[in-house]
Amino acid sequence: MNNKPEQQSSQGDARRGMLIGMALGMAIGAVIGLVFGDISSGFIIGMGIGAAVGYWRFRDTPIGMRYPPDLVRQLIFSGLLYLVILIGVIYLLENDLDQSVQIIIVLVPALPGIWFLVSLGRAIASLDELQRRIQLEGIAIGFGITAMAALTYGLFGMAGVPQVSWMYVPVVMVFGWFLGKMWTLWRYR
Amino acid sequence: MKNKLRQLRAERSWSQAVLAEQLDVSRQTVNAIENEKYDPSLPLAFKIAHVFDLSIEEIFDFSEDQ
Repeated sequence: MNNKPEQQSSQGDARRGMLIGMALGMAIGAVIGLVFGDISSGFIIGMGIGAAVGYWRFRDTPIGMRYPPDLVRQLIFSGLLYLVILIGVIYLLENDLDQSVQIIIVLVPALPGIWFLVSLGRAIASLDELQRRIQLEGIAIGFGITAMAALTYGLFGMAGVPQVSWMYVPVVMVFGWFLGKMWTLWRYR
Repeated sequence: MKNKLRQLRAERSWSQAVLAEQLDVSRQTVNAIENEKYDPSLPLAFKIAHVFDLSIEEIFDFSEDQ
């Protein structure tokens, strides 16, 4: 029996493991960066560690998400474009611009954001029935983690702990989604 | 739900990847069904039955799950 598909799949799994590890590491790095006040170092260190752990964890273990390559490229490109534009917009907003210009500028990241969401929706729709369930359960767990974290931190705020920007809510959300996905993947392994 | 997927696959010397390709699902899904961690939908169960040229009842045993 030809075992080439198995080998190819294993390499693909390792690559996907690295990507998941990088994303997870980025979320963890953001949290660590928030604590130590240096978010960019946190991102880079987190991505590096995450990629290494992801490769080690998944090189022989199928995680089996089968996103079409063109959708993966769209997701990566639109996500990176969103991040680059977001950084640019934050930089511009720190300068003294007219408020009407600022309102237009803050809407610009929404364009790659919509592209990212559409690609994400198409990527999830392209999965098979178990994988869609895993994603759905992951999102549900992530939603729960985010809600609990936001409520708990809100209570901390009432106890005098300094408030953080709501912009970190999506970071917690993505972190929760990946935690949920890892848990569900483990459950159906 | 109990099933004979692993046994039927072994009889044909198919790897999980080969069966997954025929069913147009991931290897993980085949693995989860074999390990009885996941019960397939009716369309997928029909597809499995078609691939093995058997009836659904010959592959899946619902009575033991009740």
